[in-house]
Order: sequence, then structure tokens, then C-alpha cells
Amino acid sequence: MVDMFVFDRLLAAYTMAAHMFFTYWAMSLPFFIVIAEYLGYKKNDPYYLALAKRFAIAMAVLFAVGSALGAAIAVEFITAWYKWMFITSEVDILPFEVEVLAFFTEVIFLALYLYGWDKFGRKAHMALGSLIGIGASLSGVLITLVNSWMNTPQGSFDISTYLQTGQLTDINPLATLWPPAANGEIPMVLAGAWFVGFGSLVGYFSFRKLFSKNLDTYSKEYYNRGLKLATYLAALDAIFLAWAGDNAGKELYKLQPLKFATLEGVMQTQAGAPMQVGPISIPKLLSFLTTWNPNAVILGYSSFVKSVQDPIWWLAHDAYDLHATLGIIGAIVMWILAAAYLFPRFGKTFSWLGLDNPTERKLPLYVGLIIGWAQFIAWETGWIAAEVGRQPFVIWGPMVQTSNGLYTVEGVLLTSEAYNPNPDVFGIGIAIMIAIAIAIIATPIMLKRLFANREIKQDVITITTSPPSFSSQTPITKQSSISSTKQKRFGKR
Amino acid sequence: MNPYVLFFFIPLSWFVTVFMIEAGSVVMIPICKYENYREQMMIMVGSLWAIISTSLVYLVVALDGTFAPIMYATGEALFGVLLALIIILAFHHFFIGSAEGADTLGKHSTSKLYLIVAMPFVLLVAFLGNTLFTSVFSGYGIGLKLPLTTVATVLEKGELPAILHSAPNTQIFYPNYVQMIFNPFNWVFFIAVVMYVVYFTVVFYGIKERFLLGALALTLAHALFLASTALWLPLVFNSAVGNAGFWIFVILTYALLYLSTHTNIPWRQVWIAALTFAGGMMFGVFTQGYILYDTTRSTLAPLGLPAVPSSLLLTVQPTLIAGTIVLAVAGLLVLGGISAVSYKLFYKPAVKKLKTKTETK
Repeated sequence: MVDMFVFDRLLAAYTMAAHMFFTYWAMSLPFFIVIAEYLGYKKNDPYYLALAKRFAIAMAVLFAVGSALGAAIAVEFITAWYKWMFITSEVDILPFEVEVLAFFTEVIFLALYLYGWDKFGRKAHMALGSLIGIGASLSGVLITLVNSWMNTPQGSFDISTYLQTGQLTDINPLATLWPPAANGEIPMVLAGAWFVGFGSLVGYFSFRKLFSKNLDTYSKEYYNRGLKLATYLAALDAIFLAWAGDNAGKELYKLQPLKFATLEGVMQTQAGAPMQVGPISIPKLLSFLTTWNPNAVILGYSSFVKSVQDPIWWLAHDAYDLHATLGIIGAIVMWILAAAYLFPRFGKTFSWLGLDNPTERKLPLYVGLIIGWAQFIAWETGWIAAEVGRQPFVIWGPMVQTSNGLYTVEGVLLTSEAYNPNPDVFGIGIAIMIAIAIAIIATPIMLKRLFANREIKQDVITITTSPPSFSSQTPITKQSSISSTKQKRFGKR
Repeated sequence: MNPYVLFFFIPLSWFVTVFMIEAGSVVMIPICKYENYREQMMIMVGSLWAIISTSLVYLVVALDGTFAPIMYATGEALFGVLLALIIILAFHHFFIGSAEGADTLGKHSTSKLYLIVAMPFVLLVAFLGNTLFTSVFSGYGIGLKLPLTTVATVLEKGELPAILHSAPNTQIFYPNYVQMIFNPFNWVFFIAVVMYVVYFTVVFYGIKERFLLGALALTLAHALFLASTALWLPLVFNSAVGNAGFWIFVILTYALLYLSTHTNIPWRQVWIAALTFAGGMMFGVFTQGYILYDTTRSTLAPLGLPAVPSSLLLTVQPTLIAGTIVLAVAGLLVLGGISAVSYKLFYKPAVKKLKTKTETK
């Protein structure tokens, strides 16, 4: 007999993880593409334009699969998690509805961008590309707002009346557009998604440089530009990420100290709490990072009643540690690589690490490949930590002190009350999982087939000889200037 | 009638219309000389992706936002069909998309093969969608664990959240798959839908040599829609036959069939899409906002109700009002904005290209 409580959670986790695999690209690729396009125009460089054009095709494919998976989740919500969806629809549906607007805007601008290379002016075309990124990021923000509401529904309805009578009163839909937890979650999601997107691009270009056989000069130039651009963007975003991560931790402790204790694995309430990462314990660091006071008291599980403690806290805690570790390593690596590109003297100082020529030397390329793609693991584990760390509640509530001095959480809905117990979900759920697996496996195959007969060289030469024409402007790349740029560049080699 | 019903029927009618255009591409193979219409059809399918990707999302979110308590019906009675539908729909899109991709690459026979493979998936999507639709309106297959009057009272007093809070394991509905799938209303209505798709395709592509087939399919569609509603949804039937708008709609369907197959009527595709959309909306109006009709009418008649009013299933007022504004804007974007962009960017240039190609030949 299958435990449907476990299976429904697995199904939701699996579908969501698959969907999220595409979301960070949806949020980051448009910006990468538009910046490549801008650099192409600014530097009269056909390689950047080739990057923009080729990745725009990839973006369309990833968008199609990602949105199909989004539709699958939407249907799972109203079937496998209908009780949660009922409460959400009654109180917190506004972010979903606005998200539909953002999604439609994204679709419109995607269509205009993809088919508008020869129909709009340069600035207008780049603006369209930016709007895809803004639409996609806004979609991510709005969905995360639902998550924030699930963590802190305070203000959107009268929770104490609901807990006493079960009546939904004083509903304020506008409050759902910025729940308290959004202060920490939104910057984290934006910075994280962009970082994973740019990081995975670093991983992709490094992989190409390392493992593509018989790379011609065109391909090398193309990958080098992609690698540098992705590294710069990741390094820039890492600054935002560092702040967002710190802010998310502080906000979490302020709003949900129990969830914070779960993620950090704090069992005992103590002053001057140490930071525990695997076997390493750094005295007072957790207190300091959380409050700027190294001696501050941090609430642990010992301050909470047993019934609200996460039964699988270790999973959330380990996932959180992995997430944070990979993110921090990722940021440091991207900063070092970007510094090596920007400041050749810095690179030469660390030539023993291959930083004197990071686009060609194997060590930085391998590091870029591993750490770049590891951000995907950081993304998924971060999400696991956030979701598992919320247990046993699917919708939280305020924290209150009980008569014996311990704290409890007056949760609105327990996860164990929200799932669909019908065993018929199992068979269909397995079929959905298989269909999703097929979609994920088919995506790279489809991308490979799309680019099978479309060599980089061919794209670069096409752009060089017949640059995209724009209605109100001069052609982007004059033949002579492109040729001279190429001569200069190739002459150096 | 509860006007919010329209917030369900607008996205539903739109989804149905878009689905018919897509399904029509598969219907083309058995009903006409496929090769003669292949290029037109592929242009159409290739122009639809943005509309297709948005129409289902709009439908689901509109349902969530407008009728929150219906989540209990979707989660307890309709989940099997809904989840099966999403899988089949994915394969349906995949095969039709692959057919379009193969055609773009000049692999016409592969493209045709994909369309043939897509056929059972298209039929299944239509059937499962139809099953959901007929179940909700007739009530077949949606069993009640609690007495109907109790459920109605709970909904009327807005006590569903209280039940969820105090007794979260309370089950209100249960699925009766045999009744849901094998009831005659479902099958008769489904055949009517298939007939309408045949008619739709003949008009959409202006297939002159299949005028008679189109007329026959349309007549059958109308006859079956009327017969099925007369037998199982008399409320809808009576509203329709007593409404001049319905008869004007019937006349227009025949007129459009003739005009699109015998004359070069401009905006042919737009007219048939608009007519189909209007047909869907009319059905919504004719339900007068009542659902679960056939299975509840005898119980509710003593209370003076023809069936369960869908107003009982509305989301709470503040959320509903805020959401309605957003859904209306989203409707404008999805029905207007995305369609306009798809027409201007995908369809028009492709048709122009095809014309140039034909003239060059």
C-alpha cells in the first residue's frame, strides 16, 4: 500500500523541481542575450550577435518546455493539493492572477523579440528582449509571493478568527502582494535565479571549450565571448546574491525563528550560537550573522513545543548547508574568474592556477564547468530547504508563547491535512512523472537537432556579410569594420 | 444569472476555439486531399504556439480565482480525468509540434506520420475535456459523500473553510468513473463536438470539395447538441430554443459554411473562430449559472432550484472582486494582444511568403 502523503509530496516535489530546472534560464537568459546583442552592436562584433541569435532559439525551446511543466503543476495543485489550493484561492489567488499577466506579457515580448530582428530598430529590439527578462523575473517574483504568503499569511486575513471558528474573515487580497516574508525571499529568488542561470552558462561554455573536438577559430571566439560575458554577469550578480543571502537569513530569523532553527540545525537555544557546517563549528558566528551581535540568543528547537518541530529537519538542514556552501563557493569562483579577465596582472599573479589565460587553461575551465553547473544543485537544494523547512505546515501562522514558556506556531494548514489521500492519484502521478522525464530528456535532444546543421561559423559569417537590417537605423555592422575588427583580432593570434 | 460564470466561460470558450484549430489540422488528413492544404495548415499550426501556451493557463487560473470551492470537486472527483488530460495534452502538443517542425525542415511524409500518430491523442484530449465538461454540468460521475442539501447549506453559509479547519479529512465528493465516462450524455455530446470540429475545419480552410461533408457534420452537430441537452440538460435546451440569438447562431454557421467554401470571404478564419467562441459563450449563458443539473434537479426541485447554482461556489467577495479586474485585463491580453501578435508576426508573413512562393512557381 502506497503512503499517499509521501507520494503526493514526491509528485509535487518532482514536478516542481523539473519546472524550476527551466525557470532560472527563463529569468536569466533574456538578460544574457540582450547584453550580448548590445555588445554586438557596440563593438561591431558578429560573435556577440551570433550568441544573441543562437541563444534566443534555445530560450524559445526552454520557454516552451518550462511553460508546459508550469501547466502540469497548475493542474497538480487543483487535484493533488486541492485543500491547499482552496484556501489559497480564497485568500491568496491575486499573485497567481497577476502572474498570468506577467506570463502573457512575457509570451508577447518573446514572440516580438524572436521574430523582430528585422522589423524593429536596435534599441526597440533590445528593449523587447529586456521586457522578456523583466516579465519572466516578475513571474518568478509573483509565484514566490505565494510562497511568502504560505510562510507569513499574517495581514491577509484574520488568522485568530480562522483558528477559532474556521471562518475566513477580514480578507485583504492586496496584502498578499507583499507578505512579510517577501522582504527576504524575493531578493534571494531573483539574485539566486540569475546567478544559477549565468553560472550554468559558465558551465556550458567551459564544457564546450574543454570537450568540443576540432574547434575552429570561429567557435573558439564565440565560446570565449560567451564564457567571459556569463562570468561577468555571474560575478556582478554575486554581489547582489551575497547581500540577498545575508538579508534572507536575518529576515527569516525575525519572522520564522523555528524555520531558521531547522535550516541551521539549532537544537538548543543559546547565546553566542556557533555556525555549524558539517563537522566544522565556528563559535558565535551564527549569532553574529543573524543579528550583528555575537552574543545574541538564538532560539533553537528546545524553545518550541514538539508538535511544531520539523520531523525531517535534517533533510532541510543538510540541503540548506549544501545550498549555502555551493552558493558561496560559486560567488567566490565567479569573482576570481571575472577579476582574472578584467585585470590581467591579477591573472598573471595566479598563473599557477591558470588564471593568466582562463579561457584556455584547463584548471579554470574545469572549475568553471563544475562550479557553474553546481549552481543548479544549489538552486534545487535551496528550494528543498525552503519547502522541507516549513514542515509540518504548508501554510504557517503566527508564533505564540504557551503557558509553559515554550513557543508554538499557530499554523493555518498542516501538510498532512492538505494532500489528496485518494490512491488513484498514484498511477496517474507515475504517468505524469514519466511524461516529465521524457520532456526533460527530449529537450537537449531537440536543442541538439535544432543546431545540428547550423555551425557557429556559418552564423558568424552570415551576420558579418548580411547583418540584421533595422528599419530606422544604419546597419549594425559595416562590412569593412567587421573585417578590420576580425583582422585585428585574428592577427593577434 | 451569476455573471461571474462568464469568467469561466470566456477562457473555456477561448481554449476550445484554439483547440479546434489545432485539432482541425489532424482532422484534415481523413477528410480532404491533405496535400492541397498542407502548407496553409502548417502555417496556422506554427502561428498558434503563443496562443496555445497561454490559453490553458488562463483557463486554470480563472477557474481557481473565480470558483475557489470547486477545488473540492477537482480534487475529489475530477482529479483522475484532469491529470490524465494533462498527460495526453502534452503528447498531443508534442506530436503536432513535431509535425510542424518536420514540415518546416521539408520532411513532409514524416510530418504527416506525426499527425497520424497525434490523431488518437487529439481524440482523447477532446474526449477527456468533454467528459469534464459534461460531468460538471450534468453531475454524472461526481458522487456526493454527504447529502446534497447539507453540501448546499455548507456552501451557502460559506462554511467550507470551517470544515477544512475542524475536520480536514472530511470528503465531500467522490469519483464514479464508470458513470462519468460511460454516460450517454457524454458520448452524444462528444460526437457532436467531433462533428463540429469537422465543420470547423472545412470552414476554417475553405475546403470547397467538402462542402457537403461540412453541411452534414454541422447538421449532425446541431442535432446532437440539441438532442443531448433536451434529454439531459433541459434547462440549456429550453433556454437555447427559446432564444432568437441561438437560431441566428445556427443560421450563421450554415451561411459561413457556404460563404467560406464558395466565395473568397475575407477574414474567414476570424469569423469561424469568433462564431465558435460565441457558441461556447452562449452555452454558458444558457446554463443560467447552474451545474450538476441532471443528478441534482429532483432533489432541489422542492426548494425551487433547478440545480446547484454556481454562485454557491464563488470565491469570497474581496478576493473575487480584486481578481476579476486582473482576469479581465489578462483576458484582453490573451484574447486580444497575443492573438494580434500571432497574426501579425507569424501568420501574415507566412501567408505572404506562401503567396510569393506560389506566384514564383
